[in-house]
Amino acid sequence: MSSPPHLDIGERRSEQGSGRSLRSVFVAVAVFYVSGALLNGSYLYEDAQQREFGPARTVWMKATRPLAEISEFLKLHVLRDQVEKLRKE
Amino acid sequence: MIFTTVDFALFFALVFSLCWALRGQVTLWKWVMLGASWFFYGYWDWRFLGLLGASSVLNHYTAVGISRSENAHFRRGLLIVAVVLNLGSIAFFKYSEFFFDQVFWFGNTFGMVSDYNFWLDSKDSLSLIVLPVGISFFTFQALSYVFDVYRGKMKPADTLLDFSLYLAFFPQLVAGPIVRAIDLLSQVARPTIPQTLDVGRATFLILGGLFKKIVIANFLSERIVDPVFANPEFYGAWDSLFAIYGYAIQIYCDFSAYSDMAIGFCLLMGFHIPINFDAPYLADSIQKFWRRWHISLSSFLRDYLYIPLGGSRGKSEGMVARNLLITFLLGGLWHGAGWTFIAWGGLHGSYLMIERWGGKWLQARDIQWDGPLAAILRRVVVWHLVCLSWLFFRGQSFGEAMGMLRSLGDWQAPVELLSWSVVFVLVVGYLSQLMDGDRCEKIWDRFEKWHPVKQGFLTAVILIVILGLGPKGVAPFIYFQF
Repeated sequence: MSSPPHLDIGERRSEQGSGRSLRSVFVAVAVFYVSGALLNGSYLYEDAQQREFGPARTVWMKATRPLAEISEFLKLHVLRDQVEKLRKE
Repeated sequence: MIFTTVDFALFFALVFSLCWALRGQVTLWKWVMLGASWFFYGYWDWRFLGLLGASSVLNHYTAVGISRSENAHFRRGLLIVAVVLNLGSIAFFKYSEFFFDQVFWFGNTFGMVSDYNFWLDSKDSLSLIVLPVGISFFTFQALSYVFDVYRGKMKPADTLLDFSLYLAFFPQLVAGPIVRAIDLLSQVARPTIPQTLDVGRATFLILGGLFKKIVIANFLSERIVDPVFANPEFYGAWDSLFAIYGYAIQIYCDFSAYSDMAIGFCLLMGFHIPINFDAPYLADSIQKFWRRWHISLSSFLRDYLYIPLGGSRGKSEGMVARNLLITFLLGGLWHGAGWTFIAWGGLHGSYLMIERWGGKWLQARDIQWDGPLAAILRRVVVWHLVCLSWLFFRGQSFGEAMGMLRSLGDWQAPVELLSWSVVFVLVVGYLSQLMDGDRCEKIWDRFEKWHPVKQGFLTAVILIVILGLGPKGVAPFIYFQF
């Protein structure tokens, strides 16, 4: 076995200055989490209900219930519902 | 805590925020990151935090001792202590029961077992030993550190805190990549505040990893791989053949997904670690396969076992064959305590030996196997040789592997599980290799040009689609068992 080249794409791109500023990445990550929580609200609540009974389950349900309600009110759960319907077909 | 769960998403949101909020206060940052990594590990099983802590202390101070001493014997002695203790811990947790079974089999076969109750009670006790998740990975990382300090390739970490953080750093702690100290230690010991973060590549790797794991690997596992491997006698050749292909794609997608996501999370925290896969099933030789599959392990075995044994510069072809076999047999054993894993490793060692001798034979006769048709044929041959070896890797026993091979003889049996959706997902899984390396760099760069609100929203939409396409429930990653 001869030595393979060391593939460090990260180092190369770092030297090239690829990427976005920290501020920009923070905004993107924040938008991701908010959008993800709302688009997935109903399923997060469903997932919380499946957890083992106990304080953790209670906290998760309290935290995800408002997300589920907002998601259903704004019909944001439709995307995932449609994709799941497609998968079942 | 598995990457594909809501729990991890919340954990990462907190750690990501703290990582950047505290980056300017280096010592506090290190303690917080170490605490987060220990929390991540303890979430699996808090009992093994002691093992992680002990490994950090043992390996760091051994390396410090090695670097400070000028006595060659003392240095070598410390190295041996580190190797024995590290491999000893893996041997205890991973191989005790296997070793015991072999001793019992040997004794029973030659009539040396007199007290069966003693053996049965002992086996019951050994079966209570729980394998700490990630032990094979972080132990090899620690060994690479001690070896590299011994060889003078690097200095030991300035503090135990630095080394502990390197060893426990959560993205790659439980299932790799096996990141060497020379690649990551200096980054976590002296964290900088970079001007930019490679958000395009990070997002691509994380989403790509989620797609490969949730949609492809879990689908193939549920639809065809698990049912056929569980009862091969109920299925015919078509189902069995595609179950074997399915497993090859499943294990690639499952394992590369974890590595990709680990790299992506590191990138978001401003660190870069080497890639672990580079389109392995596009290789046209077994040698090239091993330069593309689980690169961190194969390069570890190459640098710390194969080359010290003599490598391909052995005095004779017999010595080279010995070096290859030892390396691959131990590589197989690393994966699991079972003869099937050893057989898997031995098969690859044999493939490499035959490929080496075959190559020399062709070269001596000036026979060349080039051209586009030859290139395709070579890839088809390598793919099938690798798939054959996966039979032993996946099978719980030789009987299971042989059962799968026998079922390949029945081409008249009706097709039960194979469907166009399975074939489609298999093809998509095979093509997902094109996401490895920097083949999609243009996509990363295009994503980076978008407004951050668009980046965040689109990423959320793609995530929801991935979650919708995947089966319900959280399937663990295959390499957690190693």
